[in-house]
Amino acid sequence: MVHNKLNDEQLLRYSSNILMKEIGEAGQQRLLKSHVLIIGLGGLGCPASQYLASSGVGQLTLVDHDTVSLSNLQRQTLYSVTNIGLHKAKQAADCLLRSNPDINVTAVTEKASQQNLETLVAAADLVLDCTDNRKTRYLINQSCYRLKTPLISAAARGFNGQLIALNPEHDHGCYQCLYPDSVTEPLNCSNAGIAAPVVGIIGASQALNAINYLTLDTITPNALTIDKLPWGYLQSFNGLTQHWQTLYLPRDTSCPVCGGEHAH
Amino acid sequence: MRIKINDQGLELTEQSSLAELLSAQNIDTTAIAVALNGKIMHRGHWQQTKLNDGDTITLVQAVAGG
Ligand SMILES: [Zn+2]
Repeated sequence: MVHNKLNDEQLLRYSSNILMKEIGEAGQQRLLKSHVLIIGLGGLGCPASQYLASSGVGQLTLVDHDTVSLSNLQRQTLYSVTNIGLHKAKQAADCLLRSNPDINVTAVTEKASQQNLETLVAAADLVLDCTDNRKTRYLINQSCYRLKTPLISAAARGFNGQLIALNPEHDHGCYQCLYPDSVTEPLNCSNAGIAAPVVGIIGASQALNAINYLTLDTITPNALTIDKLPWGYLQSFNGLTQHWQTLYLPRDTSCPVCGGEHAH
Repeated sequence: MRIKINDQGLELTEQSSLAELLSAQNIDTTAIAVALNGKIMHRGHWQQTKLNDGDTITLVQAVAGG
């Protein structure tokens, strides 16, 4: 890959990234050349997009058809009272660009669908699922597996947060394997409540996974190659006990999305 | 035989499968993931998975909010 040299302003703006040997100038150049698709600009999408924008991910595409409401402001930290009634994707893009005009941010105010996801996912290096409903989660999972694009899927409710990094090139399971029932809609934030810092922690973890993937997704201490992402491990956070639990998700060979031709 | 479900100890008097345990405990299995000793078990395997002494079962409720 050919990298453009960072200019003086970029060297200063991203100096805290560059100072770390795990990112450095080469990692920063990779971030600037990356395109991340963020679907859902609510409680997860706000912190996730904020950290990716400030870290210098060169292209962000933000998808949300919803508008800002007063009850969102408890946890959706990119918005202010003057944004109420306006599209989240557009307001989030404006807010991120005010903080970092060095990157490109595209706002998509259509609802994510099977059709538009094909095009949106195809253009991205990585997808963050920050949506608030399971129907869209299944569609995103399907598109990512079809196009072999890695997906960082997260969700939160009450004091519980969940996160899983999925790589279609690896042999772990997918979102469909994790929760095969597609019928019932479990409680979401608007009908069950959500602790703002919990969704913040999970959204920030999505951003960390993204940065780890986009810089160099392995480290090699003592000549061992270690993944910087816990691919295929469901990480569940309980905000009341502050305990993280990690469970491995194997591939279900009968899964309609990742089974079949990928089955081992 | 002693097992754990979500950190709660449970004494089983007879040999049982994962499916039998979930049913005996009246666990609503819609929208949950079930893990045995840290590994998520797919639904199709619940019936044939026999439980052993010391097994740890973890139930994770799907959440979809964001
Ligand atoms: Zn699958």
